[in-house]
Amino acid sequence: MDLFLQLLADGLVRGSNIVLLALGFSLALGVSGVFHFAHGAIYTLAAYIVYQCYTRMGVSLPLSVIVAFAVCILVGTGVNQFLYKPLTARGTGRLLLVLVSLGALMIIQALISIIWGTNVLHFQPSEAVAPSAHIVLGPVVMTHVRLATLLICLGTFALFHYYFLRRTRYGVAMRALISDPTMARVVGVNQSWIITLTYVTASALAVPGALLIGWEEGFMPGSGFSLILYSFQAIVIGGLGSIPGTFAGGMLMGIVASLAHWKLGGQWETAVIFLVFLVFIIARPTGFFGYKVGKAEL
Amino acid sequence: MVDYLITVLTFVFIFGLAAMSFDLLLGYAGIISLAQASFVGLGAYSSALLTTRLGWDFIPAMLAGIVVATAFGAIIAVALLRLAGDYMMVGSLGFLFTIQAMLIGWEDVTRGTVGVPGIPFARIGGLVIRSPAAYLAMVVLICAVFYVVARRLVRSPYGRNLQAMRDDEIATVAVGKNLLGIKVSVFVVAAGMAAVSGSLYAHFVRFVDPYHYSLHDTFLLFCMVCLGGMATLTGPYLGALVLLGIPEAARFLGLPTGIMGHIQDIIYGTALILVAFLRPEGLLGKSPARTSTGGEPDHAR
Repeated sequence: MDLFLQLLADGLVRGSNIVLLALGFSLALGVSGVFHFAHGAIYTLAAYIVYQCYTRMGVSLPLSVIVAFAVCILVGTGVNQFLYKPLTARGTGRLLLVLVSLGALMIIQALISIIWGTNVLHFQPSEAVAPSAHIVLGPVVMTHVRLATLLICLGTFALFHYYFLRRTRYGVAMRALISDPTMARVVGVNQSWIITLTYVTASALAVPGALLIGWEEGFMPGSGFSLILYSFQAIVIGGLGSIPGTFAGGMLMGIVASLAHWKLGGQWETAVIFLVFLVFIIARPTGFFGYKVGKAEL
Repeated sequence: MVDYLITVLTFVFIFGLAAMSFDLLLGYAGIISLAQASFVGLGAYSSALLTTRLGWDFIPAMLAGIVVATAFGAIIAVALLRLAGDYMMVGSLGFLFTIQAMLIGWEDVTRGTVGVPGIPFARIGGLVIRSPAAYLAMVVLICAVFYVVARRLVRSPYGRNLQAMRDDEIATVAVGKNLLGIKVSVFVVAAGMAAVSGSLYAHFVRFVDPYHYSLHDTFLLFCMVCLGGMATLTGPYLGALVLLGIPEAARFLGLPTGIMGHIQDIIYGTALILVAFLRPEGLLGKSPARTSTGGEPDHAR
């Protein structure tokens, strides 16, 4: 039982990492209808910017994080402004948009590799890291960073879902575009501007997750890339366009991954998650909270 | 120099075949799958393992690769193709990662991260194909056969069904076509062709490792199809020629070898973005980009 609780806690932390990446994907997909693969690279970029400022150049940590936010938002909106927006405007098909997004991911990732190399990097030199500080909660042991990951994920989700999307004008406009773009335009939502803001928000959401996972495990150019699959699966299980669904889906992925890792070993994790994913989408094609019908029109 | 050119050309045809199989899905049937590299991988690994471990001949091993890939293709197609486009795409991505994890993790069979070295030269009966030129000739022959097969396929009534389905699913159902049947069958055919490409690759390089069958490689095939021209059969080969040719030419610029792979990615990504903006139908594509069939007017501004 104790082991199970520990695994559950580990699963929730992994789920938090997935959720922190998936929220941005989910928002971009819901509002603009684009599979924003490049988000995976923007996520990775956040860690590298903090590394460059804080570790290499000795800028203070808070300032470095602010720079990371700024760069990520710039790149994220840039990808939308110069790629998705003009291509959507000229009626580019869905396939080509997916591809261009993948292309942007590959380019950013390659640039990161060229600038900083492909090795695993850490924010602090390994000898300076204190013997991992942890706290004990009953049977569960957690390092501070992991606990922080869980709390920040919960906080980000709560703030984003219960405050931003409900209480602010822009959040409400985003939800309107998610549920019915035509109707939203009719009542005067400026779609183009809200989509730009969506990419600002999505890119900002990537930063905390990237820093936390970077702090705990280190990071490399493919860090975001390797989380893309779980994030997309979380979004689909939760229901396309549903933020609480993404949260629940991500946590489920994390717990399943953790249990699969324990029972079967790390190499079968992807396969187990894929099976769970298949069972879910076949049994419930609209996801937990989805309101967009996902079944092909046969 | 001649050997070098032969090597590059052989790769162009091997990748061109995989890209052409992908084009059947993307260009003709309009199915967005990200899993195509897995089928290449299944073909390559089947060939590699059967020839090294059980001493099979080239042709039977290749046929076994086709069987393995089409079996996986059929299972995954039946499971996923009932879902709408986006779900299908995420599902195919899951399949891609799962197959790669299997190639890495199932060490007893696949030898895991080490890969399978020492794949023998292609042997057909008593004839062993050692020289690269002879291998190239065989690859070209096989590509030609599949080209003719694909051409007959897309021009047959079945091929017209495919394209009708791509352009308007509901209308295709309305005239009494079995949409799921068409989708599953084209998916399986494409998987089989991709497996052949994988087998050819395995016997040419004579080494396979599990890292060449990821999203990155699907992306490369994607680029070849888009650049050459979707819904054309020669386009993917042209795409392969251009996209494999540019990095080879860039090799002579004398850039540090460590970053060549990344430069290559940047070239592919940029090429793709340029195609999307300048010539969405690809180099050889005839019809204007299929814009009105996106099916999601909601998101078009």
